[in-house]
Amino acid sequence: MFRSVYAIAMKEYKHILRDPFTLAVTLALPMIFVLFFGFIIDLDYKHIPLNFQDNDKSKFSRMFLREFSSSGYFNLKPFQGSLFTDNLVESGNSGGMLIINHNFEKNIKEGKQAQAQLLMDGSDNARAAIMLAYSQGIALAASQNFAKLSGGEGNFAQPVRSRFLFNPELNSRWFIVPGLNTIIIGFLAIILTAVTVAKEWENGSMELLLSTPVSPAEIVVGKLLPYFVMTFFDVMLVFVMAVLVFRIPFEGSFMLYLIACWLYITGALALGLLISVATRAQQAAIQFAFALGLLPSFIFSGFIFPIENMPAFFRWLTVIFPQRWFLQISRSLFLSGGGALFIPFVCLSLFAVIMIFAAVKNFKTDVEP
Amino acid sequence: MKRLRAKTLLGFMKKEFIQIIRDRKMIAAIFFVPIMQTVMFGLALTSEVKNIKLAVVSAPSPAAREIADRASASGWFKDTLVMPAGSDVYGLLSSGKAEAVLVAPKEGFAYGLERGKPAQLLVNAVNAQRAQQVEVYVKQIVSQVAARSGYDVNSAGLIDLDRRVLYNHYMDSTYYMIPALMVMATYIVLMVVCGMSIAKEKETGTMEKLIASPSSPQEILLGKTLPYFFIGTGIVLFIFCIGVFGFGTPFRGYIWQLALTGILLACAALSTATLLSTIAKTQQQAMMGSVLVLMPSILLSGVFFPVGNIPLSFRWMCYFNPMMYCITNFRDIMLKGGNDMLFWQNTFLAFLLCYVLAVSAYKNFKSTLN
Repeated sequence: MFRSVYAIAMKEYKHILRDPFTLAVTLALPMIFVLFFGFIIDLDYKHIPLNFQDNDKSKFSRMFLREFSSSGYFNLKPFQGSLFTDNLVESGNSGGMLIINHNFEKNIKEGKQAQAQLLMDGSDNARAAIMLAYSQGIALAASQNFAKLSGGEGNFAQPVRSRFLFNPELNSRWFIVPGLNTIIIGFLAIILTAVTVAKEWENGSMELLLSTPVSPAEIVVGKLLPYFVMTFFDVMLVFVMAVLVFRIPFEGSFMLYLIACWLYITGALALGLLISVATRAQQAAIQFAFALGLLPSFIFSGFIFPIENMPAFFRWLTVIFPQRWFLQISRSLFLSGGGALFIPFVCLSLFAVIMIFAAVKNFKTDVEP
Repeated sequence: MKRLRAKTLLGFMKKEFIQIIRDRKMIAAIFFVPIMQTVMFGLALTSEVKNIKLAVVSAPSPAAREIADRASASGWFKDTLVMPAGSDVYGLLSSGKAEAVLVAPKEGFAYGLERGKPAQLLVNAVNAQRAQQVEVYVKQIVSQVAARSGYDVNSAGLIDLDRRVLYNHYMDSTYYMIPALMVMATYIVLMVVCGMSIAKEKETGTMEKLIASPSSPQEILLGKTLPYFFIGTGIVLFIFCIGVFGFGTPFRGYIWQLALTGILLACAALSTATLLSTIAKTQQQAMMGSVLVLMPSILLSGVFFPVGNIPLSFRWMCYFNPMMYCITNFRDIMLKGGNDMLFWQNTFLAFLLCYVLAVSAYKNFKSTLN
C-alpha cells in the first residue's frame, strides 16, 4: 500500500518538475498575493488631503490646524477665494474642507465654545466615516491643549475611554495578511489538482493507471500527496512572511493552525479531484476552479468585506464556504490567540469529509462501470 | 488601402450577433456578470458598518438599560447584551460574542457621569477600519444617553466642530460602488467575450477565411469589435439605470460627460481585448491572458481600494490603467456633479491610453495577417 502510494507520488513529482507552468504558478502565486495585498493595497486612510480656510488667523486657530496636520491623518492645504464650499470639495481629490470661524480664539478665552466646520466628501463612504472618527479625537485633543493654555485643568469629562484590543495600532495589514492563506489554499489546491487530474483524463493516461495493479485509493492519495506538500509549502511561506516581514503577532497555538491548514488543504484537494472527475477537461476545470476557489475566497470569506455587514441571506450563505471558517480561525489565532474556534473547526472538518466522500464516490463509479 | 464599407460592416455585425446568440456561454457571460456584480456589490458586500454586537457590562441600572435600548434602536447594532458587572470582558471579545464591550465604572454609569469618571470601551480591532467606526457609534450613543439624563458632557470640549458629510449624507456604500461597477462589469465582459470570440476564429481557422474574403483588415477588425461596443455601452447603461432607479444612486452631472466616458471605456476595453487576442493563439490562452490583465487592473483601479492609499512607489502603475480614469470620472459625475478640470484631464488621459492600445492592437493584427 505504502509503496504504491510512494511510487505514484514520485511519478507525479517528476511530472511537476517537468512542467514549468505548474511550478511557476505554485511559486509565483503566493508572492503575487503577498505583493498586492501586503504592500500595494492599504486600507488605512492616512494623509487625506484637506483644504482649510482660517477666518480667525489667531494663535489658537493655527494651533488647531497644526493639531490636524500633526495627527498624520490629514494633509492640509490652504484655500483662497470665496467660499463656494460645494465647488471646493468637488475640485480634485480633496477629502473635505475645514473652516475655522471668526472669533475662534476670543470665544475660547471667554470660556465659550469656539466654532469650526468640517465638510467632508462623502462619495467614498469609508473615508468619510474614518474622517468623522479622526476629527472627533483631534478636536478633543486640541481643546485639552487650549484649556491648559487658558489656565484650566484641561481634563474634560469624557463619558467613554476606549481601548482597541488585538490590533492596538489599528493597522489594516494585520487584518489582511492573515487572510492571504485562505485565498492561496482555496485557489491553488483546487486549480492544481483539477488541472493535473483532468489532464490525465484528457490524455487517457488515467485509464492506463487504473489498469495497473494499484488500487484507485492509492492512485488518488499518491496523486494528491505532492500537491498537498506544495500547497502546504506555500502556506508556510506566507506564514513566515506574515510573522517576519509584516511583524504580525501570532498569539495562538501553532498546532491548531497547522491542523486547520491540513483540514482545509485536504478538503480543497478533494474538491479539485471532484471537479476533475466531473469535468474531465482542463479548460472546464480551470473555470470551475475560478468559480469555486477564487471567487468565494474574495467574496464570501470576509477577507475584505466583513461578513457582519452583509444582509442576513448572504450571511447565512457564507456558512457553506470553508474559506469563511478557515479565515476566522486564521485571524483568531494570529491576533486574539484563540477563543471560540470549535464551530469553525467542526465546519472545516465537515467540509473535508463531505468532499472526500463525494470525490471518492464519483471517482469509483467512474472507474467501475 | 483604406476601405470601410457600411454594407460589409453590417454583414459582419449580423454574423457576430448570430454567433453570440447561438453560444449559450456567451449569453450567460454577458448577462450573468453584470447582474451578479450589481447584486453582490450593490447589496451584499458593503463597507458600511452594520450589525455591531455590543455588550454593556454594568450593575443593573436605568442608564445601562437605556444605552442598550438606544443601541438596538439606532440600527447599527444587533443583540445588545447587558451583562452583570464582573463578567469576563476579554472572553466576550475573543469568543466573538461581542465586538465592543462598554464597561461601566464600578459605581455605575450615573456616578461616573457625575464625577467625570469615564466608562471603559473595549473594541475588537482585528478589523481596524470597522473598530474605529464602532467606537464613534458607541460614543455617540453614550453621549446621547448622558445628555438626556441631564449631564453636561461635550465630547469635543471647547471646540464645537460642526461636521457634515456632503454628497452622500448617509455614507451609503452602494452610491460609491455603482459608478465603479459600471466600469468593472463592462470591462470584464468585454475582455472575456470579445477576446474569446477573436481567439475562437483563430483557433477554428475561420480567421483565414475572413482574411481571404474581399473585406479589408479595418473592416474585419471593426466588424468583430463593433457588436461588442454596443454590448459594452449597453451594460454601462443597464447598471446605470439599476443604480439610479433601483438603488437610488444620485445622478448630479451631465449626461454627455457620462456618455463620453462610457464610450471611451468600451473602446479601451475592446482595444485591450483585441491586443490580447492577437497575441494569444488559442481560446484558453486568451482566457488566461484576460484574467491576468483583469486582476491587477481591477485591484489598481480604485474599485475596492482607493488609489490614494497605494504607496507612491506602486501608484504609478494606476496611471496606466484606463479603468481608473473612467471610475474617477463616473464617481465624480454621478455623485458630485462633475468638475470640468478633472473631467477633461481624466478623459484626455484615458483617451491617450485608449489610442495607444487601439493602434498597437491594429498594428499587431495587421502583422499577424501577413
